[in-house]
Amino acid sequence: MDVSAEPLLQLRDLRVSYGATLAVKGLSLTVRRGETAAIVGESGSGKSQTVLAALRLLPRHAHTSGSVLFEGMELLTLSQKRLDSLLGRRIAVVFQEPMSSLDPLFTVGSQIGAVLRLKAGLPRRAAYARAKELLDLAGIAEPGRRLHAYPHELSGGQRQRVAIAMAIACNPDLLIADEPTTALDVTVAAKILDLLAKLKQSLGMAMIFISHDLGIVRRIADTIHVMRNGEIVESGAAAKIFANPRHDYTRVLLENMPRARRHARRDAPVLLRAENIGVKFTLRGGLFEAKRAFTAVAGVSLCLDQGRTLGLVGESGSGKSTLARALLKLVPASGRISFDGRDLAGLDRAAMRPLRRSMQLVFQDPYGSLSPCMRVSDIVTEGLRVHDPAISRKQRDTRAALALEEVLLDPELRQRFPQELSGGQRQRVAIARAMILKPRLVVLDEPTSALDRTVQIGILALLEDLQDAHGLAYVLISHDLAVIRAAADEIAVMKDGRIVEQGPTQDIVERPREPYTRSLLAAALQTGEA
Amino acid sequence: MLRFFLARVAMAVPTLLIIIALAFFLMRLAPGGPFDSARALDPEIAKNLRHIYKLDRPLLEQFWFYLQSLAHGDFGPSLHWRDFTVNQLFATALPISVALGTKAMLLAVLAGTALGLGGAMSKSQIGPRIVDGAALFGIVLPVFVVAPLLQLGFGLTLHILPVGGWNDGAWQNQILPVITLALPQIAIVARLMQAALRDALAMPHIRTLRAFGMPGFHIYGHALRAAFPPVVSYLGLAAANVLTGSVIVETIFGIPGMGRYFVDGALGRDYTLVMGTVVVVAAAVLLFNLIVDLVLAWLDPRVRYESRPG
Repeated sequence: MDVSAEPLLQLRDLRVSYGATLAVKGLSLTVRRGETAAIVGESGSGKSQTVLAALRLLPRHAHTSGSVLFEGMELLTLSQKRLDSLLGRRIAVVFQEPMSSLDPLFTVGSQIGAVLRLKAGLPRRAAYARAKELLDLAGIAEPGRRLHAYPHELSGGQRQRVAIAMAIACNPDLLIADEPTTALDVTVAAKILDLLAKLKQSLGMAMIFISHDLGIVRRIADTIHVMRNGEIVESGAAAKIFANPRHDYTRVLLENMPRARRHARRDAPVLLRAENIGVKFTLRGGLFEAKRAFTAVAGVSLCLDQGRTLGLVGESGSGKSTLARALLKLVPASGRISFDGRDLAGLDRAAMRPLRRSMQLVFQDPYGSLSPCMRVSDIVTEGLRVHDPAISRKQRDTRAALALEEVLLDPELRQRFPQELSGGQRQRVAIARAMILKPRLVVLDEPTSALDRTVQIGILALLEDLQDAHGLAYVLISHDLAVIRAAADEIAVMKDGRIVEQGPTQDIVERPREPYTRSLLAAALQTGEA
Repeated sequence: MLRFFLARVAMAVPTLLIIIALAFFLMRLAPGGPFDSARALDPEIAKNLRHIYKLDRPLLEQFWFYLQSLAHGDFGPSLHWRDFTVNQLFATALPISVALGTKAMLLAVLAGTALGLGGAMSKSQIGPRIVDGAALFGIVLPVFVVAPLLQLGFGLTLHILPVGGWNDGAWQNQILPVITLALPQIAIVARLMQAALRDALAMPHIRTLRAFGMPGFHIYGHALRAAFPPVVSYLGLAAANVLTGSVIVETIFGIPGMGRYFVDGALGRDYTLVMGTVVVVAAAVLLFNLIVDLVLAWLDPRVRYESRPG
């Protein structure tokens, strides 16, 4: 970065308030031409609020004050018309959620084309031709065909590439990327980061990169601004901050990368044994096409001892979740499964039911997996109503309070609804719901992926404590090797429905045999972890 | 898409058959018959009448006859208006109801969308409340209150529009009934549209458009497209009801449409007429549901690719 380059964007004493609540408290920072500035902090620290406020994109009831200068122009008082002429052309934004930030009802080509027509004044045909070039530039294969695709037909990484293509359509001077890789797998995230770094170089843009993840920021940022509670607590050159963090909070963020766990070897009986598991889905063909079979899981065998954790890693689509559901007999599968010495193959739904309380499942999305119209106490005790119907209402309430205490939540929260809780609290509720039945096997399907690093650490520690206290066996599914490494005794690496490599965590992490495992590890290392 | 369409049509046929069967046998369960009157008919005449209309045959046989004639598009003779067939009655009444209903629905879509859009676009807090309040008023006010008020105002006080009658469909005679039919629909469409638009405008992809500084017409175009599906779903059912005629509106304005046959047919135990109206309404509902499904699939590519019959 050239320190003498002229300032492109200057925020001075920026404040954002919602009623009496201050979301951003007098923030100042400068972004120079060609610089990549990163704003780092936990969710809720006001990172996104800052840039949304600077571009006047906050909802009407938010109050913004201070000064935002773009090339000397005051954006906060500019007429909407002149601001609109800057947005999209000189300043462009890439948002976190590539699924919802593109319109699901329009093709990719028409959305990029609309930006080119309305912002760059290109005629329709030229806009389409340029859109194709942009997709190519953003690293999308077969751009001509992809122009006619709808967002739901693309993968998460491809959607984010489309969003990036749209952002660079008019060669902006400033690109604002708001957590552009958070919703993506590590391997995909690494590629998106490379793309952003490359485009920044070739187009000479300045970039504001917002992230909660210092590991990601390390790869791309020139300067780092660490935010907490609406304020910048530390700013400086990236290398300096990593080498010599001055503020306590920066040190906390740096230390908050999951560490490898102690691997206590125990001679415990086998709890779950699966042999040659296969899952096939039938896809419906067209009117005159035959049905096709899609193999989600093929020939997987594994074995899990009581009180231990098996980590399943792999990219999304590799069959991890399907395998876990097959192990719990939630999807029909071929092969043999035995649980605690009992063969599950011949059991029908009714015969499975008493066993179900010993095998529980915790889902990834703490927002989607809790019913929004039930109180926490009802959510947590719903399983009891099925398995212990004799329990009285009062006893259930007591059990709910105990279960919440066990996951370190205030028992008073049981009267609340899920939407009143934070992501981390919700995931604790989901765990309490599983634990209340005193299971012996819990499948954790990406239990920390939707959460911030600092919250992740708390959840992982809780899971470990519960495991030690109750001798639980976990099947832990994650695309995040850092999480798996921190929590698993053994790792199975999945790709295209098969286990390509399996072994004790230490061995896999230090001496991976398969190229695929190596690429997963490399991706995790690149983002600064593992 | 073709498969989707064919599957829906294939589903519609048995549905229609079930409705016809239910209506046919329920009607026969009701006490009384088409030839009952205050003064009893001569038994011989009654017997002959029943014989001519094949009402003395076993019920299942009658049902079979009815299905056969229906397959040829023949609704049979009316038992009450004995000089007419049901087809002849419908041939004059249905076009009138459809003409009024179509205009009313068009008005409802245009005015409702405009009101909803206005409410959702308004920068103040009051705009949306006004639309909601006015719409609630429109929904709550019964047609039999609105219609006489309109007659009183435009017909008797201002003398600019006729209070009733059809007059071979002269436009002056259509205005008041169309407005009366449309008002509650306008209200519902406006409320649905405003709510759907407000949700749509809060969606992340609309924020993306704002972040790119796209012009207002473009942003609202995208929002409208996202807001249409719930409104279209409602419009389908509403259209089926409005187009097949409204008893109250047609009675108040003295319009010779389909509406009165619902009541007259049922009261006079005019079996064939009742069956005719049931078939027409059921077919209209099925038809409009099919249209709604097709429009939704056209509006939303995700429905287009994922929708499966059943």
